[in-house]
Amino acid sequence: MSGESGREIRRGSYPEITWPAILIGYVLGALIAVSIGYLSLKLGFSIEGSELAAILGFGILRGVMRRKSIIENNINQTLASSVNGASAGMMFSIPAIFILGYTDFNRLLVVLACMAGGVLGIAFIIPLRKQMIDFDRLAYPGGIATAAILKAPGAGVRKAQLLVGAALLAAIVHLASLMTGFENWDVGALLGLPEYMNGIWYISLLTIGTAYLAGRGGWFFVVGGYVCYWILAPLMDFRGILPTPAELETAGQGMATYLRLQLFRPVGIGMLIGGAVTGIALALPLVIAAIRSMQQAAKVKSVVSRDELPIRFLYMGIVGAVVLLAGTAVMAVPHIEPWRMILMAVLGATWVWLAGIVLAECIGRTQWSPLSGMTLIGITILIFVASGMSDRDTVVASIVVGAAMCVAMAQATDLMLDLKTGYLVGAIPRKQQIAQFLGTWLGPILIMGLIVVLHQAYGMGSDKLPAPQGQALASVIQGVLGGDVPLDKYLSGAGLGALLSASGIGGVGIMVGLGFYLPFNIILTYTIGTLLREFTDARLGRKFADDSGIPLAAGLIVGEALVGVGYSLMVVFSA
Amino acid sequence: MKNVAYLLIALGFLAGAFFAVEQREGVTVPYFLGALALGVVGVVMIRVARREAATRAETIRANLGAIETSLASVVGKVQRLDETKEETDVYDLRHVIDREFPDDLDAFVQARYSLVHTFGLQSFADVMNPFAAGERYLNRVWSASCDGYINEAHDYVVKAREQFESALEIFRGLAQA
Repeated sequence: MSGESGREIRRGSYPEITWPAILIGYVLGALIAVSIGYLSLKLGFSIEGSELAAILGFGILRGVMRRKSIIENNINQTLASSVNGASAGMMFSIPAIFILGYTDFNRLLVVLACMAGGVLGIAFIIPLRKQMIDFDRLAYPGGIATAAILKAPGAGVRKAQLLVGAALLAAIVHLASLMTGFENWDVGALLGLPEYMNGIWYISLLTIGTAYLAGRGGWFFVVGGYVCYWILAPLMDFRGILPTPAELETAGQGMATYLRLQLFRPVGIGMLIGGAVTGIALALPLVIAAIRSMQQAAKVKSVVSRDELPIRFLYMGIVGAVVLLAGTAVMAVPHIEPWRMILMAVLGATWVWLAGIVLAECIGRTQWSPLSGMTLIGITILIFVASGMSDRDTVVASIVVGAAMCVAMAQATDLMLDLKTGYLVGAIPRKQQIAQFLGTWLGPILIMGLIVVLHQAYGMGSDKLPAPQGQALASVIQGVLGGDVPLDKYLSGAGLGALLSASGIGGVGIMVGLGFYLPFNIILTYTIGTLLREFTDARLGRKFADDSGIPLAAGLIVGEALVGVGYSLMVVFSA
Repeated sequence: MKNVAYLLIALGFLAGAFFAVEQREGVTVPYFLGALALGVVGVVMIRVARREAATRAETIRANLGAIETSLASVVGKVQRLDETKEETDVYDLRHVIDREFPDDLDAFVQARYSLVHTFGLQSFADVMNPFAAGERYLNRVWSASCDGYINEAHDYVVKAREQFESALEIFRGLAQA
């Protein structure tokens, strides 16, 4: 039947969680998980899968199968990125066991633990969705970009043109960057800035687009980076306490790398934690209010309550987390003492919740996720608890439990992004959460298989398969076992993060901490997007952002991310 | 007072950060704690200043006025959308949404934290719950309109109307209490 406009009018239910969405979600999720997983083993970084899943799913469901449902696309993208969620979670942790040489661990146990970890991450996010998306309305730039893709058919030709044009531009720039190896531009050297000011710019239009979408939420993140390299480092130079060339040579690092890895990053990790703990204390009344509000709505069986997974899933998640982590610890190391097992489980579950909040807040305000730092701290805590057993048992128990925690954290942040997209396209959160559950089992199987196959083929940590994140974790573990933990830096950072968060400005302790934690080249480029957003909002009004800025920024993210995955596929098939 | 407080926090933070990173190993604890204490003074000052500002009668009146006006406008517009939906081409519903709603929704969102200062967190949650659901339902109408699903679009116009009306009713109940 056609309407006045001559277009087909459809009656009946609006397709949302359907078989095509699920099956194609599995296929795309598997493809993306393996590609990104391999990419992170080769190059040491990971890519968020939602935008890619959205655009690929969009092409198949709308383009090839001629299906017409934005919210079905949303379910497809939610499921596919859920499969990929295991990729980031496991690639940070599992390769370290191989690199440390303790390969006689139970692979099936790791897979089961990671599957269960993913489920727990999803359960933990239930009240956070209400607080962070409905009430605090965090930006989630990646969620906005994904929503822009899904809504493109109805947003008008001009917006679609802007999105596609920006995507093409970003794709060309990123492709050129990858082909030539010109990924950073040392503007600081051109201007004659001292090395400690670290004036190297990351060549990435995705970063600019992300900052534009984050808007003012990204300001404090930017501030954190500038404080490090443009205030603290010059002050250290003034006091004559910068590391000497001999110290740099001993450490095998340049000035900027030394400052970041030895000084700023540990303090930044502490700030993330201190900022989060204080932020939680301040936000706890709101979380409790959100839970009460959900309970109240459930009692009267309101329409809204049917949109959410019942809050009892959260309570089951908390109990399940402790049982799961305890079970994983005891199965990984059968002769572990009961007190140690229980302590690992309780601390691990607490860490999943705490880190889940940190990650959701960071990705919600800036799109950058300090997952590796959170994993590092989580595993360090576990090693402290596990130490006293043999090195092998300590490492295996800590990493296996840590991998489950890491997947939980990765799934939680991925789901928050997808829920933001869902909010913007009018999806029902419960259906998205179900799609996330449906996808979370597949990733651990694929990623464990990928790791085992590649380890047998090349050897984890070899020149052909450097696994940089795994190597970093392995070296930290060796340091922790040898008693080398920058505890004073973590604690002082925690104090600073707590101070900033206590000021009451939303997320400021975590954001500034993230600026301390991340490489400055990203922050410099990010600044361009932040300034552009300020400029367009001030001079051209918010309507410009809605009509032109957001589609352009979303296009920049999509174009670069697509080329990133294409490149990783090329690496997979040419290996 | 606010500016002084922010300055103390910034100075305390910068000094603390410097003492935290000046050595490869260890932290100069007395200096670090001194810097932190400076920042804590700023935090206390800012919290006192903010509480005073938030409880100032004219501020509350202005913000609550903005909430009432924007929410009432949204309710009026969604009621009109509901009443005229049968005559409107389903594919045009999303254009009506894009044209009519963003400014009012944005005005409500900007003023929403006044609810916390005036009525407390639970009341804030009680108003935000239906408001957010209403906005999400309106977004669903947009999507269904884009895809031409007429029943879905019409059903969710009604649902969005119910949620926004509920948010306004709760808000007015709080304001009268």
